[in-house]
Amino acid sequence: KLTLIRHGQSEWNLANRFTGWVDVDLTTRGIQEAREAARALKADGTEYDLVLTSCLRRAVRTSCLLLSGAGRPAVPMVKDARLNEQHAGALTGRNKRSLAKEHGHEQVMRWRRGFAVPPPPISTKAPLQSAICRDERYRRRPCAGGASGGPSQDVVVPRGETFRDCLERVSEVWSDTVEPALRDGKNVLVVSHGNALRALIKLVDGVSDEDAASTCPPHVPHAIPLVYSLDADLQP
Amino acid sequence: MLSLLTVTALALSSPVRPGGRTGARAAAARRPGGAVLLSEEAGDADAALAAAERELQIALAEAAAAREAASARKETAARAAAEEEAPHARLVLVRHGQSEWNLANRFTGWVDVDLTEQGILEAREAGRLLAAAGLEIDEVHTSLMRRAIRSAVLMLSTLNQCWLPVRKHLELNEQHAGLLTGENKVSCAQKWGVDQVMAWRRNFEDPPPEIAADSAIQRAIATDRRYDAARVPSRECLSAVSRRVAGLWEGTIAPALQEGRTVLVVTHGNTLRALVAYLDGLAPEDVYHVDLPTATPLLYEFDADGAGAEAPVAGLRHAREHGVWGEREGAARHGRFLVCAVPASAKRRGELRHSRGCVAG
Repeated sequence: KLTLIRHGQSEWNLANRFTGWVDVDLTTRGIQEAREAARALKADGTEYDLVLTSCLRRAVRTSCLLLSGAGRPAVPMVKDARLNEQHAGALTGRNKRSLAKEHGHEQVMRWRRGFAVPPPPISTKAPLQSAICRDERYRRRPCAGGASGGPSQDVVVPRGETFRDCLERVSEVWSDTVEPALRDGKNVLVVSHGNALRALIKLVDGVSDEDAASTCPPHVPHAIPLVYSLDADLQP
Repeated sequence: MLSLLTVTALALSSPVRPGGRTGARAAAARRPGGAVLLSEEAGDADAALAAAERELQIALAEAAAAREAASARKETAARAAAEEEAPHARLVLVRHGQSEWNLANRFTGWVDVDLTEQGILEAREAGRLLAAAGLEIDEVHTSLMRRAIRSAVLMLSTLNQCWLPVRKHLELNEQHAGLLTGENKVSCAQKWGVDQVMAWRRNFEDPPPEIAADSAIQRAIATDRRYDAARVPSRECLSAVSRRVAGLWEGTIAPALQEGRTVLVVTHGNTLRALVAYLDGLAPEDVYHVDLPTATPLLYEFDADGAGAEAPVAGLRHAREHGVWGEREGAARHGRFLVCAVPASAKRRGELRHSRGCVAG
């Protein structure tokens, strides 16, 4: 079984701003949503063998709330920067509504949902971007024994990502971590972000690039578990 | 495929959602595509904009503060390195925050009780103490028990390092309390006598009586998914705990220290006793006096060379001695307790009473 879940409502979800790699926290409502999801998972009864999440606080916090609420605090949790949200470039921090006023609602929708539409790149000197670039979590962390020791080389912080870039890195996680675990018969829980999850859904459902814009769910709801029961060929 | 997804999603979604303004916006947000931007009400958007501007300022201020903190740390590190005072590696041992059965004064062992409200505050405070000491953690190791995992996560969150992998090991579990599991400590003393109970609690080779395999508590532990049933004991003495921790120490923690990392170990009372005995080279009679209060970090610093006492890691020595455990002069304590300068609140007084080392800091 593969369960995908988006983090609970974050501070910048509430403020309707592009977040990308900025490390905002959950709101009180986001915490409640995560707890409700935990109850749903507990009721569902599936025992998870592996939890994959991103390096961002809102997803990590949601995973911890999910595990603790489902009564399974000791499940191994891997925090992978490749499951981070799509980097929003210079749109990071901008309010979506005021952007629509500036650039037109069509352009904003192209940025948000387009397949290969890059956001305007953010300058590395911008305070939000330099804080991210300098963050310790994206440095190489060689760890004594165990694949869960963090990135094996420096994670290159992008200046902006298209959905396709996000898809590429999520595919890597899929093929080197999720797929082997699923083939092993393990139940995997992935806690991640809007666009990263759209990419994963595209992978699992086997949607082609051309159909992606029209078929992929445009909005993944917060903290609602999407459970895939996969057969031996990893088909839903 | 999309419809299947929606059906599954709806089946699992909770019927109760918080209502009001945010609920309305969330409902609007679920409609696909352009509806998101057009359906918000003007008043909400302005308030949200103002809130958003405030938050951008906060984010920028935080980024600036983080930059300053980082450069302050680099400065201290550079200065310390220049004076050759920076230790090669650091090890922080912390006990989890107050748990439900700490409060109820019951032997816990392998039962998976949770933290109390105070325990949560204590764990956050421990995180603040670590931050105040300028520590940047490289590795986190904890047990398979909720009270320790939760404490570790709370500490990391306060340190703003919640992205660090938290490694969970059975070897760091608490000593299995056998038949004493769940018993109130005072009534045990009445049943078996104070000396016998203290011997069970503190001595190396005195295991408590075995718990029956068919008792509810033991069955719950043995059938728990997180444990391989073959490795669940029915009781443990401190030397058994020491042996299982030694395996983890040699294989994982010691190599990390040799590489110069800062390792945080969040674990339980008796496990810490075994670890400290190993680190400080204590004789069994001195182990009796080792008692770490909940959520009080004990920082060990190691030098790669120098005049300090030999540490149980090849090639490392303790940086300095900070006191003694108990009364005997030979029972050196090489770790430094991180405590706030002013005792924070009444919660600490009861804990510090019987641990001589703590007040000296």
